[in-house]
Amino acid sequence: MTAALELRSVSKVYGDGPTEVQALREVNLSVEAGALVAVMGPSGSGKSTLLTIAGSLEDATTGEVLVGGLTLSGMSRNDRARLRRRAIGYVFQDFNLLAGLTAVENVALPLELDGVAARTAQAAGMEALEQLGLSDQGSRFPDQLSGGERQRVAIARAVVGDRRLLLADEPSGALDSVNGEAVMRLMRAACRRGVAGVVVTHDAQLASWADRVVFLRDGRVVDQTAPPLGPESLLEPSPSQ
Amino acid sequence: MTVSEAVREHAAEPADELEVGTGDGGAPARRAITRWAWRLFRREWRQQLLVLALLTLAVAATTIGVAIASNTLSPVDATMGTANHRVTIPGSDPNLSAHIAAIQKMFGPTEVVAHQPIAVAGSVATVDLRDQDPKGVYGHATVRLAAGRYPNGADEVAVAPPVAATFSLHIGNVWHQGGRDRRVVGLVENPQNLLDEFALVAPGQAIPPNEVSILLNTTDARFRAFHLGDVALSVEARSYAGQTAAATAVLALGTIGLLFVGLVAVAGFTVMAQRRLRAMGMLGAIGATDRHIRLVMLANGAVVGALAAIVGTVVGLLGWIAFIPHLEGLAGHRIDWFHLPWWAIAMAMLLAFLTAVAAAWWPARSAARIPIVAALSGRPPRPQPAHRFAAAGSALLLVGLSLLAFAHQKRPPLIVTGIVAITLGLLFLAPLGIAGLAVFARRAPIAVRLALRDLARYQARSGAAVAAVTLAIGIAATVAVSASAAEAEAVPTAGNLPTNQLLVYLAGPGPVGGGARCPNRRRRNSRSSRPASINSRPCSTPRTWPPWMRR
Repeated sequence: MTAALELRSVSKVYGDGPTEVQALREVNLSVEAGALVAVMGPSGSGKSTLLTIAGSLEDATTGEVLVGGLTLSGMSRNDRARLRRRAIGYVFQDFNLLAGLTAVENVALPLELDGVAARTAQAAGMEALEQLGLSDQGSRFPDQLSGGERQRVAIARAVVGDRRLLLADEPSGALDSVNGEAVMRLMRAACRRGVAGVVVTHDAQLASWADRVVFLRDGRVVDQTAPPLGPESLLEPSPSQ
Repeated sequence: MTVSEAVREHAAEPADELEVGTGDGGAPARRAITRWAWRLFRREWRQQLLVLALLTLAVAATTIGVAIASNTLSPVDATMGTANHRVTIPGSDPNLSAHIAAIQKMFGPTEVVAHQPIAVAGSVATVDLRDQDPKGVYGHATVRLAAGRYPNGADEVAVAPPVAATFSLHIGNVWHQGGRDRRVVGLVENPQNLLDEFALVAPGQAIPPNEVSILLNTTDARFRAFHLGDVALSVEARSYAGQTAAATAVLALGTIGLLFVGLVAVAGFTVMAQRRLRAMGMLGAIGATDRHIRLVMLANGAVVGALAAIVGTVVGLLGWIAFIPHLEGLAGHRIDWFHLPWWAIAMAMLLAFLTAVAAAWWPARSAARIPIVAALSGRPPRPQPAHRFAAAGSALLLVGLSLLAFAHQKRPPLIVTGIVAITLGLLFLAPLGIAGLAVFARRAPIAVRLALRDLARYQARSGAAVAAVTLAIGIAATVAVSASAAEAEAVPTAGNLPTNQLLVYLAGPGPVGGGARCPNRRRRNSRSSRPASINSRPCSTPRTWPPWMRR
């Protein structure tokens, strides 16, 4: 089965000469559909850079990035834009909803950008909002919503229209612990529907929602927890048997 | 089918395989972006007030300007009405009736107006006793009833206000002139020439006529082919060239004004784009193409341009209507409110719209080129090297100045093209100037240093602003220098006086005395009822006139 996201020996260097900064060094990562991976590490370890490269927002200096089996390196800007609106959803710490558009219009925007008629797209957006318990907030503007509601709208926008990869950069960073937990629960639910998720977080408690945790330091993957064994593992014979 | 299924079907992709095409979402995407741009404009219109106000002002000024320019010259000729030719035959022609019949036979519908001069005691001017049908096919536009009624009988007359003033006539009075008594039954005026001194009588009552005018519509070629024996015909043909040329000149001036406004708008839209940088980064992150991001700013520019064009035109038309009474007094003819060069007004609206869209294009292009990650973090783009466009800017500046020199202040296309080239040249050269200023920042006081560094950091908007200021100063300096040069080179002309005033030149060394006329002296044009000015100084000292006497 094709991984939803695969990074092969990805490195990223900013600047040159004396101002050169190595943000990522030979990072390898694979995220299967339905899996939720948390990325942790101190500030400046390259977590956000990993996410932006995975989401095709910037290029890796070396290495290869594959989304749904497609290599990003050969794609034009327009192809990447189309990949983002069809396959990749983003959730940011500061929500980044577009002022001037209502909640449902924000959610429907990626579909409309992809050529879906406004009425169909907004109906899909409303459906996504209903799944996140925001059916009565669809006509409100972002500045009329609370922080938790805004982040839920951002998650709805990230998953609307059959997205396969959900990337979240500190999604609970601007929320209290209750809303933070709620956001992680929603992301977990999205992954149960087959979406692959990558969450950057500083919070170990929130990272515990993930199937796997990857630790970054100075741009390198220094550790990662093993994926938990599912119940099906009990049916397989152990190597000693 | 559920909505999700519909969306999935639209995507037309197998669940486990991605195909990435090059589509950009088509009309639904453009509608969504335009809707967002419109909402942003509604939220942030106050921040664009300067650009809106300047564009509105430019359109309003152009509208009023072209309206005045095209109405200062009368749209209908004061003597031939709506006809395009006027043939005058002397009243002494023995075959007058036969000649009139020949002209009528040749050119179809004509209108015959007979004139008889009436002397005014103590004046060289005469009053034109006019035998004309007030509802004539061509001449109706030159007669308007101001009070009373039109004359019907042999002993009735309607007089123009200047005639009524000269002879102290009122409706109901009897006017003793030319050996006849006529009762004044009305006040009439020539709406195309309010200074026209005439008295209207019923058809056939100006006997014997001094001359007969025949108004007709024909082509010059057809008229040239017509011969009427050895009669001394006087022929006038009208032209609309003056009105069109005036409107075109004002439109050219309006275009130059819009160029200045366009540069200010570039700076304004650049600030706006930088304020929206994070939102546009987010738009890119959720899958908008470069074209979509450009469309955000272009749609904003289009909204600003359309709004300014509509509001500016409405303001201009209201200003025009308010100004009409004053202009009628100045121009000496009645003016129809809606006799306007609509093509020029439409062109001004279109230019304002295009100016705003063009001004938004550069910031839109820059915003679309900023990497999404940089946009999301709100980092402005790195300034381009200043020398990059300097060569193109210098070349454009030279071309523009050359075109202005070749135009000799007389060829609007060359003037407008030259100023467009100069404007673009200044825009391209401005970064070099800003970079030059930034060199001095290091040793400057902290406030100046910060200001200069800020100028250099936000090169796009400061470059446009510097170019706008330079252009404004350049235009003002050019106008001042050209006006001074024209003033110095102009050949002084004698004053134009109306027919009822006389300019008496007295020459000689003494304060009052006889002598030759001094044609080189410029005088005040005393169109009003003031007495004619009398020069009591010798010709050799023309500059001793007090300032109010000089034009």
